[in-house]
Amino acid sequence: MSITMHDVAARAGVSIKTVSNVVNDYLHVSAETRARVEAAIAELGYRPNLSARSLRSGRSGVISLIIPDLRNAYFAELADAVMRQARARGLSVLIEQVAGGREVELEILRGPRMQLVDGILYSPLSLDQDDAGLLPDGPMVILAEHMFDGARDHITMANVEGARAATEHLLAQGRRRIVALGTDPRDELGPAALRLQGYRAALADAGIEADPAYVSTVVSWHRSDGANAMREVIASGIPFDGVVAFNDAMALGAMRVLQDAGIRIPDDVAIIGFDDLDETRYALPTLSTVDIGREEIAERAVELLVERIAATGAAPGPRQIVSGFRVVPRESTGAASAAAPEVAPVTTAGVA
Amino acid sequence: MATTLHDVARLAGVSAKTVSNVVNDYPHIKASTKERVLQAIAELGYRPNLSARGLRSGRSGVISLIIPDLRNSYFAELADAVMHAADQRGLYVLIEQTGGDREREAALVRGPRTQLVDGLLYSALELGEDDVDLLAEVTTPMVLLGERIFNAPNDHITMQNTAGARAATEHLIEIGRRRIVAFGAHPGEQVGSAGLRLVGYREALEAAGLPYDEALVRAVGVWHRYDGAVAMRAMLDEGEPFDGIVAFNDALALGAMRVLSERGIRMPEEVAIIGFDDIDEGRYSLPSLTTIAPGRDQIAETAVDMLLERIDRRGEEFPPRLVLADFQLVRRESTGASTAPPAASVSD
Repeated sequence: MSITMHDVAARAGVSIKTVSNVVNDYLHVSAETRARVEAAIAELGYRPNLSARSLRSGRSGVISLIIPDLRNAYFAELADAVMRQARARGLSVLIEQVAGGREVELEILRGPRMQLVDGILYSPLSLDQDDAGLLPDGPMVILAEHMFDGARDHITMANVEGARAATEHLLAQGRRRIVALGTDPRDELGPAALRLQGYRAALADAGIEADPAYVSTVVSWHRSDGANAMREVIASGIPFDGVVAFNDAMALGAMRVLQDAGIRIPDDVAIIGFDDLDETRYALPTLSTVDIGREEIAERAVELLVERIAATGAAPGPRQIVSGFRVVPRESTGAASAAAPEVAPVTTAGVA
Repeated sequence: MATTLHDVARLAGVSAKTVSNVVNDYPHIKASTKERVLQAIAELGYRPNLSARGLRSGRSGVISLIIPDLRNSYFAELADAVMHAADQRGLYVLIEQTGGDREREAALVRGPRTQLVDGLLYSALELGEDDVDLLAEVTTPMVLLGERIFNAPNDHITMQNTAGARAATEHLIEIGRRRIVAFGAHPGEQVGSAGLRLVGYREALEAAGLPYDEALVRAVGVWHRYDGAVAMRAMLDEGEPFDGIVAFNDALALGAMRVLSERGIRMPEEVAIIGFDDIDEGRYSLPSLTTIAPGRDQIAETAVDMLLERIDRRGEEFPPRLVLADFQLVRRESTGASTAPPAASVSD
C-alpha cells in the first residue's frame, strides 16, 4: 500500500495539517518541525505530488497568472510582484503568455489547463466585453478596466485618469501639439482605448481640437513598436512638441528615434510614458512616467483571489478596486536633472 | 459520484487516452475530436486537475523553472524563451523565484515540492560546488542552467562565460583601449558567472601583454541597473583613470552609462563600454550597447529538450551531459559601431 500523509504525520509525531504545511511550503513552520517532517518523508519514501495535494484538499496550491508576455518589462515586473505576494501565502504561480491573438487567448482560457489551478489572475489582451460568456468558471480576478459585464472581481489601473494626467503634465509645460503614441484600432475597451480617452479629455479641457493625424497606431507595445511609430510620425512631417506614449517601453524606443533624428528632448519634444519601469530611471534623459501602483495591484489581486478560493457557500458579489496613480516628472519633460536613484527599488536581490 | 475521465470518453465516443491527450493539451489532435471532448467535459462538468493528470500518467505535465528573479531582464527574457520551448512540447512552466537566497535555493530542490512536478530547470546563484551532494539526492529529473555548479550528476547547459568575457575584452583592446575596467567582480569567487568572466577578462589582457591592475577590477555584488549606477559613481569619485569597461552584465552597463552621461563623459570617445546578455533594452539605449549575446534561445530549447529526455527515460542511467551555448559579439555604438535601433522587433 502506498504511503499516506497520515503515515508521515504518525512517524514525525505531528498533525496531518503540519505535514501539509511542510509539503505546501508555507511559511511559519519552525525549522525543527520542518526537519522532522522532511526526515519522516525521506524515511518512508512518501511522494506527495500535485495530485495528492489536490485530492486531499481539492486544491493544488497553484494559481495561474495570464499575461500578454514576459518580454514586456511591465509584465515581468508585475509577475515578480505577484509571485512575491503569492509566495507569502504559500502559493505557486503558473504563468501563461497569451500574446499571439484572440485564438491563443481563448484556447488558454477555455482549455482544460485552467481547471488545473485553484484560481486565475487574468490580464486580458484580445478579449473584450462580448466575451464574458467565454470565461471559465471558478475563482478569477481580472486585472483590467470594468469588463465582462462586471461579473468578476476586477483590479483596475487608472488608465483614463492616468493618461489624462500625463497629457495635462505636457500641457502644463506649454506643449500644444501632442502626439498620442500606442493606439490600437482593434482595441475598443482595453488600455489603449482608455488611455486615448484620457488623452482626448485633457486636450478637450485645454480647448485643443483633437487631430487624428496626432494619434499614432502600433501593433504591440514593445520598444521596437515605439521606435517604428515615432519614425512614421517624423516622416509624416507634422509639427509636434510633445509625446504621450501609452507605455514606457514604447516611449524608450521612441526617444531613441527622436535623438537619432537630432530632435532634442525635452527642448524640442517633451515625452512621457506610462508604467514606471525601473529602466526609466536610467534612460538618457530619464523618462517621465505615470506610476500605476504595480505593487498595490499585485497585493490586492492575490488577496482577492485567495478570498475567492477560500469562499464557501454564498460567494460575495463582484468587487472592483481602482489602484492609485501618480505622475512622476523626470528629465524628458523638463524636470530638473536628477542623478540616477540613490535608493534601490523594491526588489528581490539577484545577480545574473 | 464524481465524473471520471472514462465518463467523458464514453460521452465523446473516444478512448480515455484521447481524453487524456486533450486534457494534457498535446498537439496533433484533430480539431473536431478536440471540440467533441471539450464539449463532453463541459456537459459532464468534469474537472480534471493536476491531481487527476498526475495520477493517470504519473506525470503532471508541469516543469519548474527556478531562477533568481524576473525583474532582472535577462531572466525575464530567458523565462519567455523557456515558456515558448515548453509550450511547443506540450508542457507548462511553474516559475519559482529564489531572490538569490541560499536557504531558499536549497529548500526548492530539497523539499518535497520537487516531487510535485515532472522536472526542474534550475539556475542557482548561491549554491556552489560544495552542494553537489545535495543535488545528488534530488530524485526529480533536473537540468542545471548557469555556472555555479559543475561536476554535478545532472545535465547542464551553460553560457561560455570565460570565452565570452575574453571576446568582450579583446574587442575593447582591438579598438585601442588600454585601461579597461572589469565591472561586476565578486572577489574570491571561483565559480559563478562573475568569477568565470573575470578569468576571461584576465586572459585577454595577458594575451595582449597588458598588466592586470587590481584598481581596475570593481566589485559589484548585485547586478541590477541601480548597482551599476552606484558603483560607477564611486569609481568616478575616486578618480582612477580608465578608457574602457567590460560590464559583467547589460543591466550593470546601462546603470553605469547613465552615470557616465550625467558626468559629461562621452561614449565611446572617452570611455568604450560593453555588456553581457544582449537584452532588448541595449538596442535602444543612448548609445546603443555593445554586448555578448550568450545564446539565450539555444539555452532554453536545449534545456527543455534535455529535461524531457530525462523525464522520458526516468530510471535509466546515462551520463550527465554538459552543453556550452554558442555566443556572439554584437557591436553597437557604445564601442564605436554605428547602428540604428532595429526596424523589426527581435522575436515577438
